[in-house]
Amino acid sequence: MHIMEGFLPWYWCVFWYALAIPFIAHGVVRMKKITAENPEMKPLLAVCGAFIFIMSSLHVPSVTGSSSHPTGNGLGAVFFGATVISAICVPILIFQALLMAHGGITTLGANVFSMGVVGPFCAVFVWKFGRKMGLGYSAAIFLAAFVGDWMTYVAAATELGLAFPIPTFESAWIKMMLIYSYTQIPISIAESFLTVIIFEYIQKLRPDLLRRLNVLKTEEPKKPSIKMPEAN
Amino acid sequence: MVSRRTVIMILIIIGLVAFPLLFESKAVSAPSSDDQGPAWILSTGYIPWVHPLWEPPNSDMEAGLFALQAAFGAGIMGYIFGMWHAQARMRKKEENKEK
Repeated sequence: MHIMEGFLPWYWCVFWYALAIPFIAHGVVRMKKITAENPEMKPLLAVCGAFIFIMSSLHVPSVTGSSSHPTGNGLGAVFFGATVISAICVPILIFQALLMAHGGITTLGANVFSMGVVGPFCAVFVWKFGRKMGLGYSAAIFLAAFVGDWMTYVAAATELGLAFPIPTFESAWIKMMLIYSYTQIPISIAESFLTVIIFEYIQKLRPDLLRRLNVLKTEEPKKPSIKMPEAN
Repeated sequence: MVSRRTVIMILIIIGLVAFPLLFESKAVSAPSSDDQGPAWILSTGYIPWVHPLWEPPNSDMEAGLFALQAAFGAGIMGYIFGMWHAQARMRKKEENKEK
């Protein structure tokens, strides 16, 4: 989903930067607030950032006949909120743009918007909706990770379709969807399983942190059962 | 102990990643989706207005840098998980001593 350096006209670069910056700013403020109030959250935040760092570096072959990379943005979004991932994505994408020519500085706004805004927000929405519908933690995080990853690629396809509506936006969008989103489906499934494994491991090691973040329900103290006298 | 469910999930991940490598050589040699997108854009006659400041000189170096990135991330995750694991063990030991 990394749009390469110079592969968006300058006005689209400005547009996506303008859209991404408020989310990044909110994420930085939220991250500072979380770590100031709960310094013990720092390692969990680092785990989420490292997970994105690893996932976005892996080029995975897809059964569709091409290859792509997972994003890892669902886990952190569910834990800390979507905008924190917007902020975390910035140094990762700058690192890849400068050291590997993967993505770019001019296209950073567009790449942050797809990987750090659209994907994470969709993941959080699916997590909340899934939990409301009564899904278990593992099933909900699986779906959140899948949607977070896949929607990142849908967003990238839309960004390119908008910038190059040749001959029309619809046809360009379908073309981009076939390149990005179709390849991504099996990779998203693999990433979702890995996210479940990591989630369950954190749940086992530090359930206290997840409870404080309201990811896990806090255990309610058992109320003494009082037998009501039967009405005659 | 790793649960049976986790083992099944790991096997599914390996299956999803390894299947194309075993049966579809196309998946390995074909350009990635990150390369196919720009190729289509270039075919429309678009000329990129900026170029990367630096590009890895060959694919081996590029792969090495990606591996370094993954190793760095894995190092952080491994360190924190190890720390949490040790803390949990210490807590258990202290609880047992108190009993």
